[in-house]
Amino acid sequence: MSAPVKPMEGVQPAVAPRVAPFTLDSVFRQHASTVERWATRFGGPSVDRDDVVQEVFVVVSRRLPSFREETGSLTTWLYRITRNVIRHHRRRLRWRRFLRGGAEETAGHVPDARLPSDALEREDARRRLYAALDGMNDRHRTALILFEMEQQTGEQIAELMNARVATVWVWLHRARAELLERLAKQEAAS
Amino acid sequence: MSAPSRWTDGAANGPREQAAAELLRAAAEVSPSSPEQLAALLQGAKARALLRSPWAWLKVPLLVSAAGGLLWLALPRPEAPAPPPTAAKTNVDVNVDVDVDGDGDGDVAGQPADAVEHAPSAVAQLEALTLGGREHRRPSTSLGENGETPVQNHALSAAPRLRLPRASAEGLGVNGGGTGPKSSQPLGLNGGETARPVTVGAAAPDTLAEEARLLSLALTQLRKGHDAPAAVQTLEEHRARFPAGLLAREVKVALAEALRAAGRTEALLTLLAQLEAEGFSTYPRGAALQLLFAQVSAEQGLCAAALQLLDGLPAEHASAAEDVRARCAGP
Repeated sequence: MSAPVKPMEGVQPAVAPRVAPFTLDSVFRQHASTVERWATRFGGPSVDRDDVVQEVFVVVSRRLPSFREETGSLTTWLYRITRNVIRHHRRRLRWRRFLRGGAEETAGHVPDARLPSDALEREDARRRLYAALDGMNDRHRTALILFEMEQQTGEQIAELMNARVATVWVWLHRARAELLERLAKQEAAS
Repeated sequence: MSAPSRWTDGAANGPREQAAAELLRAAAEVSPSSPEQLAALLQGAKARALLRSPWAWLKVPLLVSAAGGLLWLALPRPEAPAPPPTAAKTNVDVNVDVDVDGDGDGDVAGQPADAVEHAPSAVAQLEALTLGGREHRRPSTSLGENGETPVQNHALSAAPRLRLPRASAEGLGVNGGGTGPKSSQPLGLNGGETARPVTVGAAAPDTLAEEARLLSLALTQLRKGHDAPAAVQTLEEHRARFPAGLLAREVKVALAEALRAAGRTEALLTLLAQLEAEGFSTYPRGAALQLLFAQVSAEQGLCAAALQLLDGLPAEHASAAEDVRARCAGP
């Protein structure tokens, strides 16, 4: 992430400007791929990645003027927005699943036979993994994804999740156990 | 607690953990969007942000409201509810009742109210003066020119109730000839009717009240006071002060009666000629006025004019018309 724009040296305004040094375009240019990746990994195949990315930057456009670096880094701020958007999408999917029934139907996942075999395998793996992850505790799930997929350190995860590092390790441990249990159930059911 | 090793880095220790790690590695692969796709995502985000802006969804209703307001201002305003029929249209002779003798019972010339039904109206009296007999007519009910019912005029409530002559139903049209103000509506004699409220129009209440006061005074002087010259003077005062007054027509009819009673034949003929020019049908009891004109003309030896005036008189005046013809036929 690029360093934020700082005021000109030697210029001491009488009153500190309350204008964010970021613009929507600059933030998008620098962080769109990261947000996209988060949307893919946290949302899973059931969530429309492009929809999530657009939603995130809609929120960014609205809140960017009030963003203050003193409250935290821009990356952390974007992550929290992305998490909330994904959480909202997943909650909506659960309601649709509940109302209409059929995880496959609401997930909108239809294996594309035109894809190459490795892509198909990858697609199937994602589907199985996220089927297991979807039923997990949200904090455990997040910790697992951030650690295993995002390759974040414990300290980085702690900052993102606003928790202590030890708590993050506990969540990770529980997430791993829960994942294995769910995958075993899938195996048994299939 | 020490930091654990990642399964995706090969630290998985069992077949199940390794299988899970495989899934995690597969799921971790992300196909990034192209720059064009990202640009499209940015434009999409901006469009969504605009739609969700409160001003975006307020804009349309605000525009519609503004357009509606401008349209409302531009369009002609609906007219105020039509006021009660004006006296100019309906004439007080329709509705103004004057208690001539001031006893509060709505009678005419000293007669009690229950005798009103058999008491001749002023025009009937006028007719009686010309016909040599007392006649009365059953009143005919009629509505205003626009079908409205008379409205009580509180401004006249203080004036003595005046029973004014009413034209016969066949005598009046809305646009009966002449240049005078239009008559109101077909009227019947008021001989048998009880007091009816006056219908007033756009004139100021105080002006109409003054007009009615003078007219009432004149009729009182004429019928109760038997002071025809005083009545003529009062009516002339009314004509001078209110040349286009709401009661102008009634005043002229009353003036004809007063001039007849005062014996001022020349002035009467002049007045009747004026009324003929305006059209007798536009006046209350127009047929009676026409007959009166014929009678006075015959008395003055103007038989040619008198016989011409007899044309078109209704059948109810047939007897009086025969008398005029007989007079003009000469000995």
